[in-house]
Formats: sequence, C-alpha cells, structure tokens
Amino acid sequence: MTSRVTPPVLRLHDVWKSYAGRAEPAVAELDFEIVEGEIFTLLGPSGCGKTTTLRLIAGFERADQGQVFLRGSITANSRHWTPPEKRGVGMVFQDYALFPHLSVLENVAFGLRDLDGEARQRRCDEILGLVGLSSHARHYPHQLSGGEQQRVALARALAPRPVLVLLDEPFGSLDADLRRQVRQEVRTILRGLGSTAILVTHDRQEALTLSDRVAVLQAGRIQQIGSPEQIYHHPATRFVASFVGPAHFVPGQVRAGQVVTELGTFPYDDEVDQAPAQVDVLIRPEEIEIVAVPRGRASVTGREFHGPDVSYEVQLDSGLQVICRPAGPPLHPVGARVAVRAVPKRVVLFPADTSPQSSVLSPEPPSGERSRPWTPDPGPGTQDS
Amino acid sequence: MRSARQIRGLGLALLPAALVLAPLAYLLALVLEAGPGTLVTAIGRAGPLELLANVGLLAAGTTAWALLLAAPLAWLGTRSDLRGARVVQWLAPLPLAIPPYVGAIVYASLLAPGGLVDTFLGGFSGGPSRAISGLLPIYSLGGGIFVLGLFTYPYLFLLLRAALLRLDPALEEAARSLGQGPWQSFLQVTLPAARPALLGGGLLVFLYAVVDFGVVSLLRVRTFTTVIYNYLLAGFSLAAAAGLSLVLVGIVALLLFLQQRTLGAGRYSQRGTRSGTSPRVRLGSWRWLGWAYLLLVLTLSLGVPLAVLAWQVARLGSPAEIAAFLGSQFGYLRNTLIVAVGGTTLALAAATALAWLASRVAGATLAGAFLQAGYAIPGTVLGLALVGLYLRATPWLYGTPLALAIAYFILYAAPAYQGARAALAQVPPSLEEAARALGRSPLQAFREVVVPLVRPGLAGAWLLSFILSVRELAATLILRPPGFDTLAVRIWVHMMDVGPDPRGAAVALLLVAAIAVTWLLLLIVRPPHTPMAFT
Amino acid sequence: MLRRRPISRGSSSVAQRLLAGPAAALALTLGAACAPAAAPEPLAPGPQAQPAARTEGELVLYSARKEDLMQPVIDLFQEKTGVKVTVKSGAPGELALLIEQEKSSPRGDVYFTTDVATAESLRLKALLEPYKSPSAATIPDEFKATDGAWTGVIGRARTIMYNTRLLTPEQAPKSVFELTDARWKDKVAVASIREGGVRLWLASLILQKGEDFAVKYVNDLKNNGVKVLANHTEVRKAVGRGEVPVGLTNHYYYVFEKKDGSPVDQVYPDQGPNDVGTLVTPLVVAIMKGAQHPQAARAFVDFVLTPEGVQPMTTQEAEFPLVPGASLGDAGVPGVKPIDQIKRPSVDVTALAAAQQRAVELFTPVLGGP
Repeated sequence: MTSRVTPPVLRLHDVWKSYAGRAEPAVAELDFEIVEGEIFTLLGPSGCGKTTTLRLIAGFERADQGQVFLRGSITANSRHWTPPEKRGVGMVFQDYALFPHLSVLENVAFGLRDLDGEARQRRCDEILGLVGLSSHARHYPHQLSGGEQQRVALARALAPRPVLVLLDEPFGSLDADLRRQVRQEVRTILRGLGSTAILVTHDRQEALTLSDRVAVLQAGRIQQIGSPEQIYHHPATRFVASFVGPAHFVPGQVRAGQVVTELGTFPYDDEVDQAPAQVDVLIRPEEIEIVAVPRGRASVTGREFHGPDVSYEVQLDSGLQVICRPAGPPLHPVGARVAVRAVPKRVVLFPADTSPQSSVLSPEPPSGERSRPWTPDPGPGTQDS
Repeated sequence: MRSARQIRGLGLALLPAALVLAPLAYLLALVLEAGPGTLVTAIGRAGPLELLANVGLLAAGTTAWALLLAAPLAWLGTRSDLRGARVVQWLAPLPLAIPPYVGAIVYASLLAPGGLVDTFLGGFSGGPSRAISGLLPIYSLGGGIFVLGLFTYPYLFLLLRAALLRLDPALEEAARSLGQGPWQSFLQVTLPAARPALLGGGLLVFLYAVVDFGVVSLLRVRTFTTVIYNYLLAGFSLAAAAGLSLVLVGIVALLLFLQQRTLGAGRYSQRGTRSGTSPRVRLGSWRWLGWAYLLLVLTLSLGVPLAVLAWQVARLGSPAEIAAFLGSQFGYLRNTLIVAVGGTTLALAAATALAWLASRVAGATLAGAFLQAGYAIPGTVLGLALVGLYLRATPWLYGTPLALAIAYFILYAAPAYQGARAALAQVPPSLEEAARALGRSPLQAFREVVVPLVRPGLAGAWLLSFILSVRELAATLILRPPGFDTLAVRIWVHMMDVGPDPRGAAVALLLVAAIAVTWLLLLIVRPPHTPMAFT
Repeated sequence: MLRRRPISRGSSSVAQRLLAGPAAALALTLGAACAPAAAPEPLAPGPQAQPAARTEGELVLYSARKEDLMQPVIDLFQEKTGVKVTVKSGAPGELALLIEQEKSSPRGDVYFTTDVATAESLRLKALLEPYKSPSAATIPDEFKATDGAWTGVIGRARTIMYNTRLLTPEQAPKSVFELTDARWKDKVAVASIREGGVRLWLASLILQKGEDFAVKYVNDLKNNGVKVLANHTEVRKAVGRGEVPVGLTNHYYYVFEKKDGSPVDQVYPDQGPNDVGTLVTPLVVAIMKGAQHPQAARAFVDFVLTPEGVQPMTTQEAEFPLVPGASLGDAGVPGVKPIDQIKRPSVDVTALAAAQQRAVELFTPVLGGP
C-alpha cells in the first residue's frame, strides 16, 4: 500500500450492521476508503444496503461491528460514537427534506450558526450563486420546482463546508431530461468546490457518468470497487457485469488459445490464466455486429429505435437470444434473416455456472484494484480499536 | 441500543407516566387492603354482564350516531361545492364548548314527560300532551346516545375533515377517471384512506361514552360510572369504588391497545409538493338537502341548548341583574383558567415529549400507554386517591391549585397524547435528520424544525384537553382548595341539594363563552399556513 | 403568496407568544403552589372555656347544604365574630370520604351535612371532635349524638306530596304503607337510593318494622309500578306536572313546587294514633378531629344552634329548626308544620344511621335507579 501523507477523508473498516428480525445482515464486511475531492458512488439494486451504508457514515445508524474514520479520526467503533451533528458530514436526502417553514435563504443558512451575521450572509449568497438560485432566496420550498428544490438541498448541505457530502438518490424524483441536466450541474458544482461526495443510486447511468469511483453492492456486500471504466469493462463478478450495463453471457469453449462461441471466436491466452473448458463470455450489445444475410443463422424478432442508434432483438437458430445495438440508422426489419457476430474490446470470461456471485475468470481487473473485498490494511496512521 | 442517552430518555419518558400510575397503584392498594372479597361482591352485585352490555350499547350507539352526524358534514365541507362551506368549518366544532351534561339538562327539560315541549304542545291541545315525549323518550339508553353523540360528534368531524383535506387528490381523480361516481369513489377510495381518522376519532367518542358520568346519571342510564358513584355515595366504600374503577381502567386500556394494533405506528407523512384540492362534487339541486342537513345539526347541537340556556338566564331578572351576576362570577372564571391552562399545558408538554420519544427510545411507547390510562379513572375516585397520595407523599402540594392541575393532567393526557402523536407522525423523519446533519442536537432539531411544523396540530391537541379540563367536575369537587371554585363547580352548586335554579344556566353560558373565546383566540393566532398540509 | 419571516430563531413570532401565554399561566400556577397555605393555628390545649366573641380569624366549612341557603347564616356569623369563613361545597358522601382521606392532615374545621348517616359514619371512625354546645341543651336527644360528636340543627320531614288537580285531599294517601295498594299502581314516584333521605327512610322502615317487612314492602312497591327517579327534584317536578299524582319526598320540595305555582299539597303520613309517625331527619353540624381552627369551629356550632343563628337557615325553605323556640320560616306557605306538631317515630337516629348500610345492601338492586 502506498503510504499517504494525508489520511483519507473517509474510511470504513469491517463494518457490519444487522436489523432485528432479519436473518441476513443489511451490510457486511464493508471496507473502503475515499480520498479528497473524489465523487464516489454506491451502486446497487434496492435493498442492497447502500442507503444503510450512507446512514452509517452520516451517523443515523450505528454499526454492530467495525470502525468508521473521518479524516483519520475514529468516528465510530464499539466504544466510541460521534453523533451526526458533530461529524461535519453534509447530506442531501431523497425527499430533499427542505424545511417548509423557512425560506430558501433560511434553509441554506441553517447550518451556518457558527458564523456571524455578515459572514453567514456572504456564504449564503456565494453558495446560492453557485447553484444558480440567488433570485429565489426569499421564496419558500413549496414555491420551487423539483429541480430547484434539489439545488437548494445541495446548497444547504454544502454551505457549511462539510468534510464530506452524502447524496441519497438525489435525482430519483426528477424526470428523465431534467435528470441528465441536473446531474451535470451537480457534478460541476461539486468539482468546482472540490467537495468529496458519496452518491447512492440504483441508476447505473448516474454512476457511470458522475463518479470517479463506483462501489457495486449486492445483498449488503461490496462486489467491486473501481472507476466506471473498470467496472464496466472489467467486472469482477457476473452480478457487476449485468448490473452496470446490458450483458450477455454467451457460452463458449476454450480450446488451444481460443474461446469458441456462437457469436465468434476470440483469442485467449490459456497459459496465463487457467480456465476450464466451458466458460461464459461477457458480450455487450454494442459489441455485436449485425449483417443482413438471406440464409443467416439468426433472425430479427424485435426492433427499438433510440434516436442515434437502434437495438435489435435477434434470435439465433440455436435458440440463443441476444440484443444487438449497433450505431447507425435502422437497417434490418423485423423478420429479416441476419448474421451476428461479436467484436468485444476485451474478452472477459466467467465460469459456466450461473451464480451471480461467480467471479470473473479472466481477465483480472487491472492491478491496483481487487475484485473481492480486501482485508484490513494495518498501515501507518490507522488507529486500532 | 442501551446507551446512556437512551436510558436517560427512558427515564424522562417514565416520569409523567409514573404520575398517572401512582393513583392507580394507590387504588389497587386500597382494594387489596379491603380484601378481594369486597371487590368480588361489589362486581357481582352490580350485575357485570348487564353492565357491560349496557356500556357497550351506549358506546357503540354514540359512536354510530356521532359518525352519522360528522361524516356528511365533513364531506360537505371538503368535497362538495356547497357555498358557505367555511361556515361549516367554524360552526361545526362549536358544540364541543357545551359540556354534555349541560346538553343533557337542556334536552331533559325539553323532552321529559311534561317538559317544555309537552307544555308547549299542550297549550294547543288544552291539556298535558305526551305526543313528543312518548315518541322520543329522553330518559333512556336512546336518550343517552342521542345527547352524548350530539355533543361529541365534533371530535370525529375535526379528525375526518383534516384527513379529507390531507388526502392526495390524485387518488380520487384516479377513481373518477376509472368511472366511479362521486359516491362510489367516496366509499371505495376516500373512506378507506381516512381510516386512521375514523378509528382515532371513533375511539375518542367511544371512550368518552364509556367514562362519561354526567349525562348518563342525568338521563338515568345504568353504566359502570353510575354504579361506581352509587358505591361511593350510598355505600361509603372507597375500596369497592376503587376496584370497579380499576376494572373500568382495564377496559379502556384494552380499547386503547386495540387501537394501537389497528393503526400501527401510523406514519403517514405526505410526500409530494402538490397541495392541490380534491375534485368537488357539484350538488346542484341537492344543495338544499345539504343546507337543510347542516341547519338541522347546528340547531340540535348549538341552537337548542343555547336558546334554552338563554331563556333560563332571562328568568334571572333584568339585564342589569344578569350582568351583575355574571360579573360576580369572574373570580371563578379566573380560577378555572388557571388550573385548566396549567394542567393542559403540563399534559401537552409531557404528551409531546413522550410521543416524540416513542419512536426513538425503546419502552417509551409503553410509557405513552400508561400516560393514557388516567382518562378512564372516574373523577371522584381519582380525586380521593390523590388526596390520600398527596398527604402521604407531598403534603405541601395538597390544597393548592397545582394539585388540581395535576389531576387534570392525569385525566386528560390521553387526548393530548393522541393529538401529539398524530401531529408528529406527519413530520418526515428526514427533516429532523437533515437538521442534525447540519449541526443541531436532537433536542435543537426538535425545537427548530419539528415544533414549528406541528404547532397547529399541537394547538389542536391542547385545545381538546383544555375543553375537557374546563368542564371537569367530579375531581374538582374533591381537590379544589376551599374557596377556589371553578365554573363547572358553580354550575353544580346551583343544582346541588335542593335542585337547580336559573343561575346555573347563567354560569353554564359563561362556561360556554369561555371555551368559545379561547378557541377563537387559538384560531386567530394560527401560524401562517405551511404547505404539505401540516394541519 | 409570499410570506415573510425573519431569519432568526429567537424573535417572537405570534405562535411563540401563544405558547408563552400558557407558559406564563403555568408559572402562575406553580407560583400559587408555592404560596403557603393558611398557616396552621397552634392547637388550643384542651377544652378551655374561651370567650366566644373574638376567636381565630378563619374557619373552613365543609358544607353539603345548598350554598345560598347557608350563605345568610355564614354572613351573620362573619359579621358577629369577625371570623372569615371559607366554604367548600360537596355532596355529603363525597365530603365524608374526603374528610376520611384527609385525616392525617385535616384541612376543614366544621362539617355541615344533610345526611346524618354520613356524620355518624365519621363518628364511628373517630374522625369527629365531640363538642356539647351549651346551645344544644334543649334539642331533643334523638337529634344529637350521645357523645356530642354531631348535633342536629334543622329538620326535614319525609312527606307525601300530591297533585291537587288529580287528587282531592280526601283521596290523597295518608300512610306510606297504603302505597302498595292496587289503586296506587303506577301512580307513585320515589327518588333513587342515591338520595340520603331515601336511604334514611328505608333504614327507618327496617328499624321500625323489621327487615323482612321492609323487603316485602319495597318489593310490593316495585311490583306496584313505582317510578324510581334520579332525585327529589325530579320527583317534585313529576308530581307538579301531573306525570304522577303522588310522590315521596322531603317536605321542602313541596314548598319549592308550591312556590313554582304548581297545584300541589302535602301530607304528613302516618300521623294517626296507631301509626308510626312521620320520619324527621336532621341536618347536623360536627367539628372535625384535628381541625385547624377549633375555637372558631366551636363558636360556629354555638352560633347556629341559637335561635338567631338558625333563623336565616329556615327562612327560605321552611326547614324547621330543632331548637325549640325558634320561629318557623315561611309561615305563609300552608302545609308546613313545626317540629313539635309532628308525630315522629321513636327511632334512635344513631341506630338509624347504622341500619342505612343494611338498607343500601338490600335495596340498591331495586331502588338503585340510574
């Protein structure tokens, strides 16, 4: 491990939390670090524990086991627990939680009690200007649109210069177009301030576009942590692969340095990694090419127009069904005979069983990242409980 | 979680509950001291099955009648296009200002065989008429139901109205778009969604009928409370009365428990920023029916009692004499306000604290349940138990107005608690968490974020307890310091011993006025209407 | 519509002022609680003879009698002695129970009750301070406790009231025992056993005629359709309206009904030579054990037993004094007799009070009323 001059903004170590009456823990073996200025996303389906993790970081829940460090100082462990109001962690709630009886200005100023009147006003003006709501300072939350409310929530959380800001599904209640726009704005704001942020979402688009790094959770455990490119192109488990993007697991056979599938044959160096004979190859729709061939071994069974591209539902005669999404205008009508082949950027193999937890066979994600939760790192600067 | 903070919170929660449990424990001690035989004979002699049946019928009938009165009014005011719906909003709850026992006196004097109605009609037929009084016997279970329902329907009305206002219009619009007429959508969408209000308000009315004494004794209905009172006065046996009171408390506790189970924790915070209104039904020519109904209810519950009281007052003498008499009562008004305001404010503070703690501290819900038990203790029994307790534990307290205020606290913490719980349930937990993330301690978050939002709801809960305290008679008779009479006591004084006289009616009017004025004050100084319908 | 509110948490909003109001009242109440109660007098040592004129400045009276009927005599007493009287009104049984609960630290001095049984029950529990007032010497023994724990002041007679439009004086019943006859079926009203007068009347039946007779009599009444009403006021009104021709009440209810203009008259039942007589029950005064102002208490008792003191009490409703020589008030209302003109059963009131418990046990199911 590289030694750090400054401690990470946040560190979770072996954190577990269970709720009474449930057999499975809500989160288990959570272990990760977040560095200054990064936007870190917790991604996963509902019930995977991402909101619980967020609340554990904020201090609204108390872990059964494990430690939480903020800026290197112990914030929560079995003996010590800092209440939320003392953590300096800002939070944007899913329902925004704006105080309905206070104006926008009063909402934003709420966390600035330590400043005197002038400084407080200055800071409010500054942050409201940053989110573009200066003209709404005297309005009340119910007078604003959804997008505006969301920005107020963000401004309010950022105003006290928190060490870390948490966002709980912040774009969930916005409609699709607005979402995209607001996402970009939020990202600009966060970057502009150099804020460290943790975002919780089930929307993979959000995770991929906004984040510096993503942690994919399932059933309370982290499946993989990596940059968006890493988890998209180098998923550590089947679950990660299918969650971050549309995925096909095409059966194939490993033979003499190659993997043979219905969609094509790909090179594979079986001397570097030992792979069994039967594997599944990860193929994404944008990696499948489609050509009209009168006596092709596949036919188009459905078609969806997306604007810049088209996706085809293709059924091979063998029974395999794939979705293929090439760029370009729609060319192939439903019912046409076609041939399809895959042109993957890199060959990612999984064992032939279908357990979502099954780890990738190869290639291993680039060094520096591990695909399984790592063990505690007793480096310098850590405080033991 | 067993942090020190939690334990402190629990201790805080148990304190007010202990205040209610103390007299119950004292009563239990009395019973045990007298021996279980006393209680068994007392119960046996009272004819428990018949009593339970009577009480059950009375309470169920009252609730049904109150619902019949309240539901159409609530609907007219919130879902119809009846002009003057605001009138409904203001006038419909006013009967709460009239103590039900005063209402019973009024209707008894009207409908008793040979009473005012009979005499009036007899004037036409030239002899005593029995037509109306024969048809509508007031001295009966039916009469008790009639009067009790008539003066308690506002509870249901207020809760129903608030629920109907809060309802997301989208639900009803969806129903209408699916082809359901206004009546069907009301039955299938609106009513079920208003279930918490129905159950809460219904239970309030039901319980009121179970523990009422004034009305049932005047109208000669045999219930638990009258039997207990018999034992007290005729038998001089506090132990037997105490035992039966504990049984009554048990019944009420059971009902409250059932309510808890049906409603659940009851978080029904409203999402969404739409504060729109629900579709209004056009009444067309039906609006005459609506007006007639409105008029009927208001006449029965407000017009008739006030008119009869005023007529009685007019018999006092000249307006100058009446004014002079009323002026002489202001000291009692002051006394009433002191203890009622004191006791109610204490009750609301404790109830709010407990309601807030209920979802955060394990065990606080139980404390909240104990807090409500006091509602069931008959006033005289509570008064006597408190005398014994005070003199044993805190003699300096006895004989002061505070001692009486505490009795009101014990008796009426339950409605305050129910109201506080409902108000708090409407605040999404995320608001408090947001405040905490911005640096406020839990208490500060509560004060700065929750309190401003629940203030209207808390004010309503305060008013409810206040009205009940102002009307309270039985415990007041026992606990008041000599010379410190309240208005309710004065009404009783003018009826005691050798029978009623017109001055009682004058004081009754003064009491009604006091309640109405307090109410109006609360309405006028209402904080600006915050969105998300935090009413 | 925009609503402006200042950015501050401390400034007073209207609603905060609203909460301040009750808070202030709460403080007031707590302040009142800390205000010391009337300082207890040092207990006077033993029954010394003190001059009655100027005594301790205060007296607390627990009264079960209608307040405005007591007020004239209280005013007179205050004028005469300068003692300030505070009254706590309540029902007789409630006050008795209260006195019992307060026994470790009594707050009252004098107990004035309309139901002699309650005074007797307190005497039996040693909660009264015996005092034989010199003014009581002439009161018939049957209206005094033997040890002087309580003393009768004025009396109430159990009479039969009837409606003169429905019955002539000849038709009116002459005895309570004829009310079980068929001709009085459904024509009689009585008050429930919650009324002290009813309890004492039933007790006197038990004492005079024995328990078996009493039980049979009451059952016969019930089978004869007697109407059990809530209280005596209901009875007098029912008779006055003509709802029932006959009612069993205390004599002064007749006076009230008459004054209301109803066509009523009354009969003192069982006055014949072989009859038991009309029951007369006293309103009694008693001093509580451990009273804070014993001297004032004694002065009060003395006062109400004098003709001057009892006069205001009888003026308004013709309850007749038990002290011979005092004039009968309301001479203008015919039908009210002074004590010496009423033939009374020879029943010891003390024994009467004890029999009342038995009466309650026996007759609550039948005459319990509401």
